[in-house]
Amino acid sequence: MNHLEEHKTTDGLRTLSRNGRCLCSPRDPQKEAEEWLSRQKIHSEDRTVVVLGLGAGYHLIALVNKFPKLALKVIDLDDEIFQTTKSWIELLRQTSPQIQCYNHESAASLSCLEYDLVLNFRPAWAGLENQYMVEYFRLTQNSASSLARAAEENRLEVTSQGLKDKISSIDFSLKDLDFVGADGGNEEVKFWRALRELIE
Amino acid sequence: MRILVLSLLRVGDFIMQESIIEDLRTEYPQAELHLLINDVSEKYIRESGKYKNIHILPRAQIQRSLVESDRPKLSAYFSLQKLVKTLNEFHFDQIINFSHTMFSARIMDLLCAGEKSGMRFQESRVVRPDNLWLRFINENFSRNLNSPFQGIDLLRQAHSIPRHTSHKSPLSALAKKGNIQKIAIQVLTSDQKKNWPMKNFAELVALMNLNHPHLEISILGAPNEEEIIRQTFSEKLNCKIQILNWTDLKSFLLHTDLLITGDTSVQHLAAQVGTPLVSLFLGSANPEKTAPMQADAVILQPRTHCAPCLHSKSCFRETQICAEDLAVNCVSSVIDSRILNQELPQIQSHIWQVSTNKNGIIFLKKISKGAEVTNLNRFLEQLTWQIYLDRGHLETAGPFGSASYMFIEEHSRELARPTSLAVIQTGLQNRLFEFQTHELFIDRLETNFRKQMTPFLLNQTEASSSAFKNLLMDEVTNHLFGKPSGKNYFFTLLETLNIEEPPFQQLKKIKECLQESRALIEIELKLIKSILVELNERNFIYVARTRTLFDLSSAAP
Repeated sequence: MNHLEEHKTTDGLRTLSRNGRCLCSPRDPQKEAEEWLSRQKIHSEDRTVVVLGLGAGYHLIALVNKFPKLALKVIDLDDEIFQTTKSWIELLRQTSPQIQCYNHESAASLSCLEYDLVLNFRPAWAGLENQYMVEYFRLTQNSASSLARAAEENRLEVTSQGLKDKISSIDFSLKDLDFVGADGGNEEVKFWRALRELIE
Repeated sequence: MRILVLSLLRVGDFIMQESIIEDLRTEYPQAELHLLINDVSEKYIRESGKYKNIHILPRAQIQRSLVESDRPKLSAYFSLQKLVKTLNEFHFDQIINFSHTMFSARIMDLLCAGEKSGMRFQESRVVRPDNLWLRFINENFSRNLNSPFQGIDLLRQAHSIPRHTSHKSPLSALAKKGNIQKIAIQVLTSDQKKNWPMKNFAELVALMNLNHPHLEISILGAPNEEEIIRQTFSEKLNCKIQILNWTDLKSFLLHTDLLITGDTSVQHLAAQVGTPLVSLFLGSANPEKTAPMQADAVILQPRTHCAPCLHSKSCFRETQICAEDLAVNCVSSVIDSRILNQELPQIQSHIWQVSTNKNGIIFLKKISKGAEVTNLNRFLEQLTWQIYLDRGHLETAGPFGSASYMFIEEHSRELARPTSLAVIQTGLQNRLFEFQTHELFIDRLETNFRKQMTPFLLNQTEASSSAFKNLLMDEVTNHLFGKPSGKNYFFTLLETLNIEEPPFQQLKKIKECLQESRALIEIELKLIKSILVELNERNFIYVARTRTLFDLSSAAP
């Protein structure tokens, strides 16, 4: 059972800790949020982003202030956090279409067409790093195994088969993706071959 | 009838392609024309308001999904799938690919239509087109740095789109108006390699302020370029900064007397609206391929050996030496000549002037002392390729008579001057001699090829294959080293010898390439002979005319 505890900075800002580990900067969470935001590669064409980790929520406020048109899907694997943070973050209390919250179960229903980018707010992962990393790979399909699994879930048979022998490779790149022996007339193969031309 | 045109390159390319899209509309007035374009061209196309059925490929977003680690990889797959599905629901009768890229060729494989033309795959295999023009685009234009044809002319020929418009010279309109009053400068391009340094532009403006104080100078830029432009063009310089969207830019260019620019989309827009041009072609900008489609447009190109470089590779030099080669005073003297309506000056860089031949095909004329022979050779090469790609040489009579007539018409001004006539005649004789040696070489090469073919086929090992290819390669390279004229006719042969392929396939290709080189050499030989005969006949008629009828009757006893 996780133990959540509320704290206050010297400026009077509320912060959180889980099992004794802070979920945001205990001194200046707003500055931390600004710095985090400056490192993110959000493009003007991005419509929806997934934020992995809610924590004390200061990074969400910074994000909304800088990108008011951006839709956010916030995933926190700790259900208790939502209840706690909601009580002090106005944004989360509103039934705004801009921010949608997901826990471990509801996040599983997210389709990759529903978001453009995944942002990791690592301070909020404290204590649950491994679970968050699994979630991150599931959402980005950033490894051969996660891509193979996502392909299988989406009934892309040739893709998941083509990735089987690449699963152990550490530096997986879509450039390596080829379908040796696959039927050249297969639609899936044609799509991947077209996409590969864009990164050659 | 529904037609889909794929134009998956950049804005500048699309602006150039607009002339053939317009001609396509004129050719099929009842057809419903659809366009598939990249997201980068969307703004321009929407603002132009000329097109109804536009489909956007979110290329940048797809690329980001594929490359950046924090983006979902499968979304790239699904967005492309969604687009293809939408397009296939239109049941197009014809799909034309105007973009010679591998990606567009793969998209052609995914799209369904009664008829498809342009670079394409079919069931994941490259389709080698029967149309020689298309084959030229795929095999020569995309790889070879030299091209006898401008890209749009090639596309037009490859897709057999008749020309309903012509490249008019805006100079005559300008001459009527009087002097140049408004000059615009487009200082930046989308590619760092193609940019002339901003400080050079500032110096140029200062010089123009000094020499032509009456000029109204504007610096053009896009909203994202405003800051850097304002930093460079201080208030000390007498110029206005214009940050414009596409619609405003177009109307601004309509009222501009001269545009100084790099090889960028604004250049092609100016060519379209008829603004006289002086273009600076740096880095990968290749005048032979992307010259503005405007008669009399002037192109300045540095003489550095690495220019034009490859578009896909970044500059390997410590400094941008092509930009250094194009000195401010040289550019200034060319602009002065335009302002004062004088002949173009002699400068250290190359000067090209755009012209069109009788068939409406763009020809780049080199402007410098003694450029007659260069222009002559380039003109002959263009005519030769045209005859070969049209398969004109296979016709019973052949187009040599009409081609030589066209040559004489095009060079009428030079031929009227005895000194130029002599230079052209000598040039033709020299080229005739060189091409006769090329013909002999091809004979020898084909004999050797036949001799070596049997042992090559018997031991189909990798070693024998590469030894065979190296031998051929050495022979061709040595021959061309001594006689470089017409080396473009050996391009596909040299390329084929460089590619690793199964021996039998390679052999077949080498044979085809040898046939191509032979055909091109024979065409040019026939062409030169035909021109020489025509020239002699004309001279004879000229001499005879002075001595016949009146002379004869007056001389009669």
